[in-house]
Amino acid sequence: MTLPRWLTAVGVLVFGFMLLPVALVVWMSVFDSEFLMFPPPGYSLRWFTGLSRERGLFGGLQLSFVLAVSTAVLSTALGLLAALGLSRARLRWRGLLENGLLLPLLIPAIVSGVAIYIYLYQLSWALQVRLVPTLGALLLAHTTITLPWTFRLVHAGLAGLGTDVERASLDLGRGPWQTLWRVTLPLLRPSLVGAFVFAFIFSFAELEISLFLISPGQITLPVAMVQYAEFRVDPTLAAVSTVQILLVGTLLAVSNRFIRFGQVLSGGVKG
Amino acid sequence: MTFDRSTGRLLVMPAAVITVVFFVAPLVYFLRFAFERPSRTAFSEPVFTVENFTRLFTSPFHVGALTRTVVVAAAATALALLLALPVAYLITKASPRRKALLIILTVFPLLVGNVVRSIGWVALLGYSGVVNTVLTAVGILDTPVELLRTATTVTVAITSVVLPLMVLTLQASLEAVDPNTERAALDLGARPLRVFRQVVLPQIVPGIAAGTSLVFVLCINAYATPRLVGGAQVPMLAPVVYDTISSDNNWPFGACMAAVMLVVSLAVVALYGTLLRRQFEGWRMAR
Repeated sequence: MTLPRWLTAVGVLVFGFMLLPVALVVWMSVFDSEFLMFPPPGYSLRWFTGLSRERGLFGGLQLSFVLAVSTAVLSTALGLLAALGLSRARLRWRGLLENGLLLPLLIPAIVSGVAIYIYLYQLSWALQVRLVPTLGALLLAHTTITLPWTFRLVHAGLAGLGTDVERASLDLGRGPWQTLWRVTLPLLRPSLVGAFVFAFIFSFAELEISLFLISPGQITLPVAMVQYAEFRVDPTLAAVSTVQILLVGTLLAVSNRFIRFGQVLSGGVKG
Repeated sequence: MTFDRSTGRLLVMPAAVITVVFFVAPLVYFLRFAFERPSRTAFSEPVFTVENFTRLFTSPFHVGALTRTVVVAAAATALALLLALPVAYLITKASPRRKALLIILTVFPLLVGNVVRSIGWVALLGYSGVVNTVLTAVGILDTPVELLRTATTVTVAITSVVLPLMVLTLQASLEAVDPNTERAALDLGARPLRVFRQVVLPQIVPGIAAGTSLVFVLCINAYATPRLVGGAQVPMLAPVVYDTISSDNNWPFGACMAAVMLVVSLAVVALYGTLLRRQFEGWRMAR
């Protein structure tokens, strides 16, 4: 069946509508001018080389990178354990546990942010320990909200593997832990890489919950970018945005063969 | 391989505990403040009251923000559905290689995040932005005009931000439609647009319900785009909640607004899915 030409034209326009803001930011990052002016007087990479002088944005970049890596490690590990437990043991309350772990997906981020902030603040009061704002609170909050993704990805991976190979390994005399280490985990690598990349990207771009948990000296990149953008939008901001765009693009390109992003991100409805 | 029950429990424990302690507990706990009285000297005055809700629904500023948020969200959702349908259909019909490429092109802006894309929209629509520069250069405008800070531009920008999710959800739904049903309708002489409306569309109603409710909730709770594109001139719920909690330190009122957003979001997901599906089911049967 051939598609009418106007449909393709509409498609091109809609993709333009989605991608234009991203392309524009990348273009602006190489402008050789202090302010935005179209067309630019020339091109230069000085906003990238000078990025380390921008204390707020550069500090945000560093903090967000460290936070995203830590979140991804912790979230993937917890997601893996939970997925193993729920798919390879006959647990009571299985449905409740599975749905409960996915709960954060259902709750709007700004509401979660308010809730976690108020709760931790009151807990600090009660325990006489400062919990907000701390890096630990940020890490735990990011881990909790990325857990649904890592859990779901690894859980689906385990379901896809089935238990036949594991049973063969057990029949051939390997113990359960050796089977897990030598058979299951290596076969699960694509899902684990996917889960890690997902958690990293989500943590790196997370804004609404971090808003409440950052402190003046320690601001994550998205929060720093919003604060900066409220003041002005210039090539410096575009340069740090471009770093994020390149990072996400690279991760997407590298992990694309491990994970079907489109399926994971769709509303999960078939037919 | 199967683990025994106690090992299984041990494996699930860390994830379950962290979710309960750092997510479920806060969610239940913060609601308490929505029913307490604001106080200047403490976080709240611990008396049970519904005056926060009364204030929210009587203060013109907050009723305005609430209405504006719902209208912008509804408009952006409708626009996103309209724009996503043809694109999702194109992706479904593309060859495997092109399909993979188009999906990546859809996923990419989504993963780049809404902050970067909102910044792009500010650069596009700002006073010295692309649109103003082009319009003055061509001679349509004499001097640049303020395009930012209006509900319309916020709607356009939010639409662009949520569009990828709508496309992906509709595409997943369209993939499950049997192409033979379309071929049959075409062979029987129906025009392509009619085939799409009467044969394809009824089959993807669950996908449309999922996509629109998901996107609507995201729009209601959007923070970065209203903040950067709309600013103080276009107050919407999420930024107002943040300011109330963080700048004004008014926890009870902020918690009240957050509670309303939570209830609206959950209600939309729960109701919309079932109601709309049932209605369309009737429509499908009637045809």
